[in-house]
Amino acid sequence: MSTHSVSIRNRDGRVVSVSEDEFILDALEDAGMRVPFGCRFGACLTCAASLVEGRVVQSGGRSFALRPHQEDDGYVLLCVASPRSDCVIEVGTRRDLYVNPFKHRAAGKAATS
Amino acid sequence: MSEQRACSGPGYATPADAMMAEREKVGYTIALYVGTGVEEPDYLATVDLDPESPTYSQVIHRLPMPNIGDELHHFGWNACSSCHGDESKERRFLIAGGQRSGRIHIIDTADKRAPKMHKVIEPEEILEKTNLSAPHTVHCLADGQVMISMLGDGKGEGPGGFLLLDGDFEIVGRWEMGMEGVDYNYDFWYQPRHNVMVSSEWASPNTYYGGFDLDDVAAGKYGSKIHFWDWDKHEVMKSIDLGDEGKIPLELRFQHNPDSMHGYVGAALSTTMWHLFKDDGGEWTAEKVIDVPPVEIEGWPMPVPGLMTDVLISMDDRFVYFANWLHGSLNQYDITDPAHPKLAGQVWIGGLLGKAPAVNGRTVHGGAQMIQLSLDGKRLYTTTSLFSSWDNQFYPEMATTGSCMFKINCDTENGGMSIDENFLVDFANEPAGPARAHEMRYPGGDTTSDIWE
Repeated sequence: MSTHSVSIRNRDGRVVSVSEDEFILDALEDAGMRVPFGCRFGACLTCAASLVEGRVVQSGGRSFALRPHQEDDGYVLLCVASPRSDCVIEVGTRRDLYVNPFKHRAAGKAATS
Repeated sequence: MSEQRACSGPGYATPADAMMAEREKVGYTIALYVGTGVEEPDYLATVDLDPESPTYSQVIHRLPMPNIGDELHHFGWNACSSCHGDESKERRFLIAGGQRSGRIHIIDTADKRAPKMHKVIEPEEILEKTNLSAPHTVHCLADGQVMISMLGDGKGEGPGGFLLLDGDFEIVGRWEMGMEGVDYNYDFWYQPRHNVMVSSEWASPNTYYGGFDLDDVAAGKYGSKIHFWDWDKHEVMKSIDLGDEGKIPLELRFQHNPDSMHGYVGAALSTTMWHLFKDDGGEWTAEKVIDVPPVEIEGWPMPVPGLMTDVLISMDDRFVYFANWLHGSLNQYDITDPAHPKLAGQVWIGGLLGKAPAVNGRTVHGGAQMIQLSLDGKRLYTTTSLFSSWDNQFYPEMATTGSCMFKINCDTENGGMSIDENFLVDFANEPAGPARAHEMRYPGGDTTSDIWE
């Protein structure tokens, strides 16, 4: 199984080698990094990261909670994502994923349309 | 009167006995780091509630969980007054589930000030044996078992079910015979003398985990039903759809008097309170008795609902209390006439309406949310976090400023509430960073634990 280099841009560009048959979250943890996560099976957005460059598949989990517009915005769920090329990602709590639906209803609708 | 007596098991013989119990000296609240950017385990905090103590209103002990990312949420006791007649039982262990991880922690409070981890049930074992995830409400049963409402399955889909643990915290299996007609799961409460259990509906975990979206409400992905179960047969006997006026029914409470046929459920999104009772024909019924209208905020495209979250009933069954997390209000209603609650007291803590941006000198990013009342009904404690992803939507600053715990003094004679100026537990100052505090319990039992057989 081939491996790819995953570079974490907002952790000083640290590079972790990730196999195509493992999840990026597991590989980062095995490399000693602490990144946010919650369910570990794709049902929540706690581990959401921005995929800046590269390609991943996210079909390996038991669930998949990203909405289409969040996928379009380049978010990936590290707990169910495996690389298919070298990647550059940004990790951390993605506060921009969480908007107040009563305050930003119009903006939210625009983003989903 | 202390809880443990030589001639009996845990808890109290009657609600009236519970009201005469010794005042709470310490309390527990779970505190979490999920969604804050602090990569540390969630923990159980012991808070000093004794005004005579030099560490009053401070966190005096922290028990970290063995893993990161659980999102501790609700928790409960292994035994309560439902086992009062059984001398072999003791209220000693707290059962705390990870909402996101599905992991269940059994915590030993033999040392009340410094609880220890007793046992951890891993999510893989729960999934293998029951296909359940997302633990929520914990109630102990009269036979020594523990019952936990579980909101999802192995894929994070509803309706979940009810997990049973035995007295040694081994998995027994699922309590219910089936979940037919139940769209989602959330809270439950049972009243055994009327052979009834009631459950409510939030949503599938993979819907609410990521945050609240009005499109999901429109798509029917949030619940609006309550379910009356035959307690002996473990089957739904009647479901009631509360409709558009009863969207997302969450916290359920029966009156403490075990003979009472009156209970309440708060519908969070609609911000309505429903009175549950057996009508003259012996049918379980739900009637809307409180309706808090949404409020317009200048420049916002949609009016903001109160979001009625936590609900509790005082041990004397005279007052129902509830929090409107988005408005920031805590409300006390006199339910001497259960069908006609009357507003008796109100205070404001945080919220989006700007009525109480700071309380006791602390800027509050959040709103009054979880509540716990002393057994004598005079001291109401509240914390300000709801759920990490929802906190990040409505009060994003909480992730970096933490939540708080406040105390409200309640007038049990005439009604009325006032915020205690001398009490503030500020979770901004926690050693590992600002944390979110959630549900609270006391070692001697509280007003959302005990059920009488």
